[in-house]
Amino acid sequence: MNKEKQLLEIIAEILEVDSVDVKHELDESTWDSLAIVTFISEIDSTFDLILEPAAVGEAKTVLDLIQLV
Amino acid sequence: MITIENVAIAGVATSVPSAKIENIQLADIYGDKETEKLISSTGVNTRRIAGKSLTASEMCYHAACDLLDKLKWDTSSIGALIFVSQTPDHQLPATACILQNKLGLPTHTIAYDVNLGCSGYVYGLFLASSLVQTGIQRVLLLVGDTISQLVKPGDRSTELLFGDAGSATAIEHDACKKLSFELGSDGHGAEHIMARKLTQHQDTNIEQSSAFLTMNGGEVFSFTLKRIPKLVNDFMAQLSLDSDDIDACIYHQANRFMLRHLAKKSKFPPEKVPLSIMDYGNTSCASIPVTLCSQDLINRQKSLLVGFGVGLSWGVVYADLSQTQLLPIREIAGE
Repeated sequence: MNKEKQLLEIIAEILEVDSVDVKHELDESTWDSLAIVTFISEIDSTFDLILEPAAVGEAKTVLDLIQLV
Repeated sequence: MITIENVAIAGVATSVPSAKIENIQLADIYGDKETEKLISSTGVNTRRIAGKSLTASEMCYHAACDLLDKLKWDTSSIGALIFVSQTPDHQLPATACILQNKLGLPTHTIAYDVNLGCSGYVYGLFLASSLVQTGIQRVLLLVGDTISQLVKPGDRSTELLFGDAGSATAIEHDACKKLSFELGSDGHGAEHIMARKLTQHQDTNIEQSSAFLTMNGGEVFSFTLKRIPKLVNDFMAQLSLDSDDIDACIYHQANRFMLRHLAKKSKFPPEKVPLSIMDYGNTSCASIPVTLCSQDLINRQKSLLVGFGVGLSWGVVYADLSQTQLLPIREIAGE
């Protein structure tokens, strides 16, 4: 599985939706503090990379998140 | 790594308020879905809340009475008392002095307070062991907090997380035992967990409500991920141990999600990482003793105790707890 596909699956699971694409917009009601720490944890587990929480919180779209990794 | 020879942890006792809050009750405030999500992430189902009438020192006092009774320690044999808390009785004097008198310890007792939270238990063990190394035979370490009193109602990042507890740990000279430590701090991240000092309007004497606990969960999580697995893994390497050799790793009970992640990063199977957070919440500096006293540890000869959080501050200790008396948790009713 390529990296982008892995990330899309991780993000969809966190957002509790079946699937997302790169244009999917993140809003405060779903991309909250719990989602942010879950994403940081998943990225650390999967890619051994610890993201900066501020950057994850400022992401507006799924593409922004993918570009962080 | 700092190793202190000839010192043992003789016993640990813990007390909690009898008043219990079920987090699911907070669905009225946060809604069913959000509450379930928060419970699922933090792992906290119930918490013990002290209310206004029960202090951290009172809970520590009861734990100390139980422990001294169990160990049959004469109060005159105790040379020092350390009280670790972020919620002391008063701004001054030191609560340790009040506890020295209340417990009937001799007036030659060295007594002082230490203001630390999540790492406070490990720091307390280090300070107590250091005193034993100077020639003091027995030290009483009292560690507790009523953090729930600093939580702002309606703050979803803290309200469902924190519980209250107090503990007592007996440390004494023992020619057959030793404790090894690694400790550290980084005040650069101090703002990420903070309760600011209460200030007053000069003209009204009305206290501003600025002293509530605030926590940036993302930053705290990021700090923990960067710092703690490396701390634990490097520490085990210095001890020439790996995760298979360790019988139990007791982490500060920050939140369940984080603890599972930390355990995975250090390759500890779940059975070696006991959790008390489901029943007691994050009890600040008392969370390690609460876990020791509430969970059945199958084997505890090679134990790691790991504290991390507010400060930011961290510490790990390697200890043989196989002969340590662990008393069952006692419930204390507020007046």
